[in-house]
Amino acid sequence: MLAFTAIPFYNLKTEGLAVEVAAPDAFIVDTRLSPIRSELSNIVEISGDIVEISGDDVAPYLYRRLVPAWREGGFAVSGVTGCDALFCIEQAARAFGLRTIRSTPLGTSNLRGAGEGVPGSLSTQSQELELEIVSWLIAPNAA
Amino acid sequence: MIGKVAQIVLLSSTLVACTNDREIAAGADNAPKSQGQLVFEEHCIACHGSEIGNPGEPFMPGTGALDAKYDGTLPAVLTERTDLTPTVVAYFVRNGAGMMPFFRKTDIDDDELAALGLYLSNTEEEQ
Amino acid sequence: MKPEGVGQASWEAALSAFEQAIGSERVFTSDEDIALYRDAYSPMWGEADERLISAAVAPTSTEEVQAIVRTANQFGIPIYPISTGKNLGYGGSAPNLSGSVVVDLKDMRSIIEVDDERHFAIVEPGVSYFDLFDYIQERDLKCWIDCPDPGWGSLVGNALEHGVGHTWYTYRDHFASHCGMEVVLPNGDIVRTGMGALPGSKTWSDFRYGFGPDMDGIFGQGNFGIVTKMGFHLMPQPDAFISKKVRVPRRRDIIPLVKITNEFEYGGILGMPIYESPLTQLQAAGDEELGALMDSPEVWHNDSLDLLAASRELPFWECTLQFYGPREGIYANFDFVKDRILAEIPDAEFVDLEELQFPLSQEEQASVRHKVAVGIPNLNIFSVSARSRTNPNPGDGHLLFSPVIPRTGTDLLEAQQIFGEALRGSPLASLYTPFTPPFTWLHRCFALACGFPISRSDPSINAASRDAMETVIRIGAENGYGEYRTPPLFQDLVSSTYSYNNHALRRLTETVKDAVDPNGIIAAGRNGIWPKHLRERRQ
Repeated sequence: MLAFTAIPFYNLKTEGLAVEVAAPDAFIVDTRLSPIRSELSNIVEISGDIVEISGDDVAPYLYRRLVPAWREGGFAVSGVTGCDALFCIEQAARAFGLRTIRSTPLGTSNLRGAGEGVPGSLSTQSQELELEIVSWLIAPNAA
Repeated sequence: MIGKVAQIVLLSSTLVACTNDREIAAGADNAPKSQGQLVFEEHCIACHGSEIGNPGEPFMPGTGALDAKYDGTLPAVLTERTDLTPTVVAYFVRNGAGMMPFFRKTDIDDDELAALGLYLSNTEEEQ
Repeated sequence: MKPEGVGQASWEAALSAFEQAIGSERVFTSDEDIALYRDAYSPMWGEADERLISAAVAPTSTEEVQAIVRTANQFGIPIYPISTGKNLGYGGSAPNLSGSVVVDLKDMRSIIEVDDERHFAIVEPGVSYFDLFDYIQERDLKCWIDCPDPGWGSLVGNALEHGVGHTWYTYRDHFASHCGMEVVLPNGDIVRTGMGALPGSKTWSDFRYGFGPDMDGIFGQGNFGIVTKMGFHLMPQPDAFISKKVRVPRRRDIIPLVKITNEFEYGGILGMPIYESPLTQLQAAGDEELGALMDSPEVWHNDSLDLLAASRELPFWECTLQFYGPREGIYANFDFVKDRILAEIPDAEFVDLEELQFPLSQEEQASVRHKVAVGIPNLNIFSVSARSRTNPNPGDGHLLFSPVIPRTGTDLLEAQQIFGEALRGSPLASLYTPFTPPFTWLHRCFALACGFPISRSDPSINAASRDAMETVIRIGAENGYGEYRTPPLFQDLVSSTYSYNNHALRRLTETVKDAVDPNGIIAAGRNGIWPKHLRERRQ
């Protein structure tokens, strides 16, 4: 059963991004949110270079794309994910001088893992968890 | 996959049941231990258990660290936490924290890591 | 990343050959997988010179190790064997040469034999101290392991690193207590040393020397092969254990105290003496009075710290005395040692610590005060530097400096001052003080070891630690104190300090290296031993 309990009065579509970043270099969408994507699209502007990853297995994208990019410098990333995925990405980002500029809770939902995913990835363990969904932006600290 | 710890029937009704031909370890009350609990006891409990630590230390190293970090706002013993998720558990296992190093896949493979995450995020049900 | 000097086609062919030999699921090449082989306590974390690997392979048998070695030779791939990969503070699982392929032996985890009548074990490299302890406990065998502070390390790996433990002296030098090896040589050949070279030998794990030269030594802290099996002598479970603490009031009391404990330890009466000073706790708490005294260069010679200790009703030194054997006998031994100490230090005081009678139940094991003293593996040592109520701002690891000094109180006091003054003015000066205690793991000498802090977020902390490490390595060598073990980043420097007769020892090991490993594939640079084609890299 999918339930999405949204925070009722919040409408991100009318809110601009943090002034430090004109547009993020990537926008991560958690594929566990796919069943409620259209609902989320009404309150979060999902645009730009969209990357879809399973929030319960962020390591491949983190190590293969984000860490090399952060090592070069810059690379702001935004997203709408489970709070657990944000936790992992922001922990790693700190080592490269980036910070979570904005983190906005959108509500809670029962999220199910990706199920039959890549053999050996966490996605093979199918589980439903009630998690907070967040919209966020990670970027270099403003000077 | 590199599998070293048995997979067993899991307790939660939302989880997938799976078995294999390896012997299932029994807990103190002869109830089968989950794969996640076996992983926790093999790799984590030496630092994150609830027993005493060094001479003069009331805690094991990981429990002591979390006791200092959370100062009573969260349980210091990992198996008493109710807010952990598999993703967060996986992050700390693969990235470490402070003095805690990260674990390779020959220590804890991805299946075992997922089981560990389930165990630590379902502690209420498993109690 | 691929290994330097290896062409793309050769690299791909080598990876394919590794996969065919051991299965693709055991060959790790993705960014997230090879990141797991970084040294978690690297003093170069995140910097350009951090040692990083190109891939890792995880064999499960000696035959698979042979296949890996042959492939490495064929394509010129540098490989770097690790056992359980927990050599934290000394390099962890990262190689000397970036771009190496780690050969991760963690899944070679068989305990081949344990005999509690002849008291030996034969194990593979992936067997940890926890594993062997559990095996012995489950079968109620009457023998002990000897383990280092962290019990998750490998018996094989630790012994090959000249690692040490805490129980009786014949067992806590782990390389000295080994007996027999099986080794895959750089050409893929298998050799068994000692009595193992006699087919059908019944004494491989009893008699170490076999016949002819003892070749085992080159595999300790060496890079001449990959050890796939190793035998160890085990301590028989004693009847009882007692520990007592002796407290002495003055700094110079350490001189007669060490003389007495040496005599009794080498004479087979006393276990490993453990030296401590309560003044280290005062220092950790930022005691202002102590800090003021420490600012004076005269602190090394005057009695100001003796007076401070006395005013706080603290002893200057404490030494834990440990005894193993029949209960009545070890109490008699303690009384004898106590009388000798009191004859030389009449105001010494004694405190009871622990009495144990074996075997212990699981509950009793859990409540043992100093578990490694009785061969119970654990990870409690990490409490020393992890976050705690008294250490709210911990580092992310440590860099271990372990100089070997003569085991006398006089030499201890002198070495404290030499290293303390070498670091004077540095933020790390507090690591060597007039009350820095020596470690006694090396049973014929002291290791005046310390851990410099490591950070995974602040490179300036690592830079200061690296500078301090280089300083003390050099100053130590100038004063006749060589390092017993050091991380890869400093192995060239330490190796260069062993320079007698124009580095004759290193020239000898290089001659052997060129003969045994002509392609230089195994652990290039380990402990300063570089293969011929990379020798100019030595720093």
